[in-house]
Amino acid sequence: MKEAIEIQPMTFHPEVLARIAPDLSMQRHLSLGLRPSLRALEEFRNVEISDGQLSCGSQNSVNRTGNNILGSNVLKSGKTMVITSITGGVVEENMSVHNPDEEESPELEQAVGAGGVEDHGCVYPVVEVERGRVGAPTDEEMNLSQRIYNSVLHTGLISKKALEVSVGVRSTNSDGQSSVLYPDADPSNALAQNFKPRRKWSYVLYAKIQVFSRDGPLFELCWNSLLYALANTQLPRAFVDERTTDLKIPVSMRGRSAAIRETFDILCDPNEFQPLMLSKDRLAFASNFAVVDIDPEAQLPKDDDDMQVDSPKSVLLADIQGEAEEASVFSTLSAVTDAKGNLKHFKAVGGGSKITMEMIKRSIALAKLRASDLNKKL
Amino acid sequence: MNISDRRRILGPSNAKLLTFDKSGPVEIEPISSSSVPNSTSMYIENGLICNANGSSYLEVTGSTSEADRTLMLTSVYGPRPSRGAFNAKATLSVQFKEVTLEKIPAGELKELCNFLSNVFNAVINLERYPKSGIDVFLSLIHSSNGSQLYELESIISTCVNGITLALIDAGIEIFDTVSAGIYEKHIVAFVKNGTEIVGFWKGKDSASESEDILSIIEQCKLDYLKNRKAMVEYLVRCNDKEDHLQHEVTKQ
Repeated sequence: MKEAIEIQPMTFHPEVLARIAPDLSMQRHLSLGLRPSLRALEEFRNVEISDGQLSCGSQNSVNRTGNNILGSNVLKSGKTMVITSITGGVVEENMSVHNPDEEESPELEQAVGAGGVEDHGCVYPVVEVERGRVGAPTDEEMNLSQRIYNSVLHTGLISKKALEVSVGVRSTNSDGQSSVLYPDADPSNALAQNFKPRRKWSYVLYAKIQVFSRDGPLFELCWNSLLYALANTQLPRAFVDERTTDLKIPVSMRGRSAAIRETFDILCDPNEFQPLMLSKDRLAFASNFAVVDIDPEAQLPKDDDDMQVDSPKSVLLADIQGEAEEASVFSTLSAVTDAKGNLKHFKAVGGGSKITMEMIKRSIALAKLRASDLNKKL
Repeated sequence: MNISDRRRILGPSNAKLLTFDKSGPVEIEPISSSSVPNSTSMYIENGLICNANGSSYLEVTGSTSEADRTLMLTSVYGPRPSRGAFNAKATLSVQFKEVTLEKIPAGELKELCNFLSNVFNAVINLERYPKSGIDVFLSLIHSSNGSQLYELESIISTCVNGITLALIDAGIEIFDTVSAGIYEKHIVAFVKNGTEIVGFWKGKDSASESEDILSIIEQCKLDYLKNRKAMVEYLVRCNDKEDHLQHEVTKQ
């Protein structure tokens, strides 16, 4: 019975180890002073951005006709690629002051009144992450969309005023030539002035965010990409035809026999654009962090001649990437801030490792640095 | 519509999409036909998507103008185990999605996916992968064609070339490099140096209705040879680069 059992050490390829034992892979890397993604502890990935020449308002757009993308961004960070495209719509605002008996649409109320931020406009994002499956959106996609929606609304990045449509009037003279008059172009124009206060429209912005090569948490990447896309968004000038300005069409409404309601077809000028005005002081970028406890037992044995250094019990990692990192961190921090440190969003999940006050301070300081870096790319 | 999508944030229901005025003169920069080479150019890059088994990115600039561009990202997942009853052959599925603008009607997309899966069912060595599934995902990033909203034909030929490259990147066995040739509104997918046809797509409103089918095929074949050459050249160059890198490593 005294047969010696020989134990063969098993070796795995780093990617295999990252999948089967993410925490071991993480701890072994940390004991070497780096992370499974081979970055330093507080090192961020480089971010490459371009507008992809997709939007019709962009300077060097490849095509303008048949294209109603108003703003776009392609963001590459590591292997992950995020493509954001902004499209738009027009919604008629209810002016209850002028028409007291007009019914207010509940959807609109909800959209603008959520959280008591009446003056803030928003974007309706749909995030899709390619993962080689078809079907309903995943939890992650739904959570991301909702979180981005809430963040845009509550940061007040876009004010309601920026989304207001200043509607012009197109008039056709006797020669059959049509020209468009905008109220802000010529304030003395009687026609435009006369028409303007009766109706009010505002732009609705939709963002489609497509993620390829998912490799870690996505909120920060999607947020930054959306921000870049919004920064180059161009809103087309809109006008209505002169002939329809006095049009009255009877429409039967619920409960009432008939109400007179004007309908207008808002048309957009394919050649004239105005940049979307973002509140510059509220432009903030997102970064994420994680706190990991160092497990003394999983460390590599040190050489005898190594200096005995007091190693910290837990470390802060910036910009989580890869399977080993994502699967083995449970305490995460996420901050949306501008370079001056005006925090717009902060999320801390304390699962496992203790997040100390120093960690929070450090992460905010790093997020500020990161924001000033990313701001330069705008 | 009574059914609202609760899974996505879709915004106010009474919003109308922006419609651009088409009556006025649209400022289109005159394209001088002399400056644009009268041939399609292709940009290829493989392996962009890291969590797929294979992927390819194709950027095709059309023959008529610079504005005629198709950007397509193809990813192949598989062969991966399929659930359910035993299958002696792998099952192939093709999914098409427009990533930015959605302007192709669903019916045409279905038709397109059917066409592509027919082509590649004939070309992939499906017997080699029993009880598994191969899923192809096509993501159209951008497609433009001058006056038209979209041109299905140039999209299809890009799809065929993109899928072939992605399958090669994934290491899935195919009998030969398939590539499509386009002529007017017709697309023919060839294999084996143009001696065999694996797919034929006839466009809806072809001007060349009266033309002889054989001459159409001949024209498509010329385009096929050009496309295949570009693809093979890219693959050979990639191989060379890899060999070169390995050589460097062994030298060190």
